[in-house]
Amino acid sequence: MTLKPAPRAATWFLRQFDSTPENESVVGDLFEQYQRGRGSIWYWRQVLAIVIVSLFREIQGNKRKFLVGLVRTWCVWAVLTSLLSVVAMVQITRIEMSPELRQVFLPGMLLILSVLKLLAVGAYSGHSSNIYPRTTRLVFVTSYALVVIGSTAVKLLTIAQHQPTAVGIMAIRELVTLPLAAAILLIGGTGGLSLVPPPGKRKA
Amino acid sequence: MAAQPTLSNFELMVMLAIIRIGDGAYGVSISDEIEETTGSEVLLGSVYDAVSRLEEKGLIESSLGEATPERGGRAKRHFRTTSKGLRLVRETQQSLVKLWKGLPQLKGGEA
Repeated sequence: MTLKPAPRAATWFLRQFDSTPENESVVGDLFEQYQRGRGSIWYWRQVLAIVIVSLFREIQGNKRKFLVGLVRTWCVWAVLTSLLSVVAMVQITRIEMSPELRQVFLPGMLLILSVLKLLAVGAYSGHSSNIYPRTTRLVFVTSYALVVIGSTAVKLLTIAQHQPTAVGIMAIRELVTLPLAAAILLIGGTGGLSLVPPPGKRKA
Repeated sequence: MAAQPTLSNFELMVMLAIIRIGDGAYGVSISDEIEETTGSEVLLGSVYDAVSRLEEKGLIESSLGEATPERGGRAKRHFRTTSKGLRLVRETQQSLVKLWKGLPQLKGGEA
């Protein structure tokens, strides 16, 4: 019997973020249906539904952890934003350059700062999610995502009020940095940027 | 006295599907059974969520079966109702039947 390989990215995503007990049997159920002729779209839809349902269940069961994750991530985000903005402004005003060059330099500098901020918060979020068991990982990942999306929305709304013409450029910049944030989140959230303590020392 | 667990509409459907299938009920077969009887599509995620809640309430129990090649070497998670679960389904049925009785609006198949 020839088995067709199920969408790998979807399976990986499910393994990382589904908190159903006996996660492998869920993967097996989907794999079995896929062999019966279901398509990749069906597979992805099921995976997303499982993860979303899982998320609501986990948040409901871990309200305190979710709030703590949200507050801690927000604090790290706010501190980094303030620090990096101050450092950047001090450095930019010190550098002598033509107005044309400044027009290019300033957005570039802001983009680098956004990336640095995302890297730091992504690594932090990844570490937070990794020191807890897989079943509560989604709670931290969501808190991180909410902080990034919330902060972006607030920033865009503020700019829309004061500088309506600049909103378009800012929105494009955010569209560049948000997928990056998602990538960092996934790498951080699955161990790439984290120092995972030994299983015996993990928090319950 | 501990509070009697209650069943949502979908949880009741899952319980009934498990009872109908008997031995060997698992995620896919439960979802198939509900789809066949209700005619609407059921997401596997909803089934897993419902069985998790039912297991927490002690109404069903699960065990891992053997790994099979058509599942890529992964085991099935089999579900069966507990005596507490069966009792609750019976009580729910009796309550629903009582509520159904004597409703002129539901007689003769008129909406």
